Amino acid sequence: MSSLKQLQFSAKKFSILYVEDNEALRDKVDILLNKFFGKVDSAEDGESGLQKFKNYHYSIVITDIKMPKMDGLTLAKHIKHIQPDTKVIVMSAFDDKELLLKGIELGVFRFLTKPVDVHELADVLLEAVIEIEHEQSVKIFYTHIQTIFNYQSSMVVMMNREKIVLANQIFLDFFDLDTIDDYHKKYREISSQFMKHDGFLYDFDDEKCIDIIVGQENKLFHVKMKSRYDEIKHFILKYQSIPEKENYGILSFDDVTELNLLQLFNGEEDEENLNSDENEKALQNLLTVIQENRAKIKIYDYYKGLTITNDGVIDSIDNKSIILKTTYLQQKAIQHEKRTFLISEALPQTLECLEIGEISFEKQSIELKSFRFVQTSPVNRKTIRVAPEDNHTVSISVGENSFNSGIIIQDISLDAVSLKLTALPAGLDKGSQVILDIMLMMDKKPLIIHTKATLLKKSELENSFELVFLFKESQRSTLVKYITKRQMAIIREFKGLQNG
Amino acid sequence: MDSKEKVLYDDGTHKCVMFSFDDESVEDSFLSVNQYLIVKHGAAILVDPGSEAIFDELYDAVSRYVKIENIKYIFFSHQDPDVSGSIAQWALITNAKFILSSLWTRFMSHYGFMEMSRVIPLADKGAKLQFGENYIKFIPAHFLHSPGNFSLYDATSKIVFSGDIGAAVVSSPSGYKKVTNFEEHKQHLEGFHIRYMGSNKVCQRWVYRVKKLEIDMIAPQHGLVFEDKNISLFLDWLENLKCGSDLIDEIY
Repeated sequence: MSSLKQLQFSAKKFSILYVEDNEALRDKVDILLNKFFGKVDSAEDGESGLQKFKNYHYSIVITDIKMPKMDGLTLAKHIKHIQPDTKVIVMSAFDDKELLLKGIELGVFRFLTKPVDVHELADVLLEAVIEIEHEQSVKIFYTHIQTIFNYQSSMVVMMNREKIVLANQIFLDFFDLDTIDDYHKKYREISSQFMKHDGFLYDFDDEKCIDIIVGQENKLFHVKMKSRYDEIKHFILKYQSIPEKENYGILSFDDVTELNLLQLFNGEEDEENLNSDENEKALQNLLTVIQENRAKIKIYDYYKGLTITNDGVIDSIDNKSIILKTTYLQQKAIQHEKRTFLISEALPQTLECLEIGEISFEKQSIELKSFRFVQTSPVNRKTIRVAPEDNHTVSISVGENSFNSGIIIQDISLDAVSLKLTALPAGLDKGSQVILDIMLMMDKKPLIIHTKATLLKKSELENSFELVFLFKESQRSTLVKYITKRQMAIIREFKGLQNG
Repeated sequence: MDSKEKVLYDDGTHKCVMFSFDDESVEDSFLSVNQYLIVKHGAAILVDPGSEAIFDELYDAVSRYVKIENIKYIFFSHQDPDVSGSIAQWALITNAKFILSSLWTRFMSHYGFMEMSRVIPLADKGAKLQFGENYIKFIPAHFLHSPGNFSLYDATSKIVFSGDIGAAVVSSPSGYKKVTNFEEHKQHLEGFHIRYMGSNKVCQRWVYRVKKLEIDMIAPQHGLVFEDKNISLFLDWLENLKCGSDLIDEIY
């Protein structure tokens, strides 16, 4: 489509002012512009042009440069001051670099050299129309977002990387601001306002925690901020990126101060305090916040040392239990282990669930009851451990003495082995040096491990003892092969359970 | 330096290394395999670490450049065994997160791994990951050849780690594995790309995305690295290649 046709199609909704002291030219161009634009006016000099612009803010102004009373560039300066979005097109018979530079400084849209060809003028006008349309759509987008934001009952801001570009009224009121520009004048990144608290998110030395939030889609974070009235408020923070708009995202702050969750986040709390009756209600409130935000929870289970983890979401909560939705494999793992561990950034610690209710494979749901926070759990393990096959043997040599009966391996990792013994050999204490001879089976052949080891942990179980030894000599190559093969066998066994 | 190891980029804080370890039992197939390591300020990303058969060799080689526990991410361009066959081994020896197409996460247990919390599944449109002060980008490369396939672009070294794209069936030269004469090299690309790649349309899509990037090198998982003018010669060649479903009548 030619520029002229496109102009006819898209310029009707825009207005234009033509300022030119040459009457013949003015009349000619005036007729042409009337074919395209919805409203066309003209003026014979800069001064009357400015007067007309003051009465009506035209979308586009075309002006000659040399005119009586007021020249084109002075007119452009006034217009850009009154309405910066107006597209000013300057026409000149002279090719003057000085004027060109001054015009660029003033924000003139285009320069055209007289005499102007109709098609050239149409091209420039079309460019101006397209740019105005684009600017308007951006403005509409932001107005639309602002309206949506203001309907929110919590604080919401739009971020471009780490910078706030839009905020709702509740946010501005919280900090006692009129505009978001006031925020930037007064404060640094939003994370600079987060107050220090155990388990909460806040800037630490030079580490700005805003980097942690941006990019961690849909995760929940706890933050604490002080309002204009010096009230300390507890918020649940969530970041969501905007589709198709790179580097843009929405930060929402859910005010949960009244739920009294802060008591769950006190570093000095031990497990007993954390699991007290008073905290039960707070935990339920926190789980409700997680549910309402549809935030993912990581579920951990174990089968013969093999870690099985998947995401889950809380479907519903009642007084004593929660219904969690997760994958079939995780449901099976929970069913087998008869307990599970839950982890979320929103929880102060790992939450152990000790009782499993109804499992619906059809609805992919599982009912969990009886919870307690635990400081140590298998979730904290840094290394993969596996339980070996039944037909293994272990011998512990302490000095001249050797022990090999009633010993089984609970699990083995690259660096350590955990043994269960029916009787404790004499002279074994934490730090004791021993020689371990272990025989495992790999590919139906015996695999021998002979190594020096140090006793790391000794504990008494019911009718037995548990000893954990650290290998002193690296068994990496052998154990990588063994553990990965054993892991595969355990996975096969676990999958077999599902079919059974 | 060992010919199985070549530093492709090094600015003092950021390093990219190419390894060329093959499963010796299939070395005569001439489909020489490359593995890559990106190290920045001592933290690393391992790219397409290959099969279980080369695990020990690669482990030793990687240890010379970075502490194994400092491998933060392991990226798998796709699910083939020569790319992902050592998932269980690397899972055991590191605490790294595994980055791969969301299409393949459900198959993890077949690789001896069920800790989904360590998996970062990539959505079809790809992702950008902050790495040090710069970033790496996962560029969609679906159906080239795998249906869930990504190339990795390292913005610091300006290297595209292209997976099977640009793979050549060629015996491994003794020195640096780079293309010196594209016209001559074409014959080693053709057979593989014509049969393995999805169609010309998907080739064009990938080329379009890659041409927008500032590139100093294309480093495929098999064969030789493309540098200088060979980059654009290769991209232009791929953009016009009839392959896969374009030649469906010949395949059936």
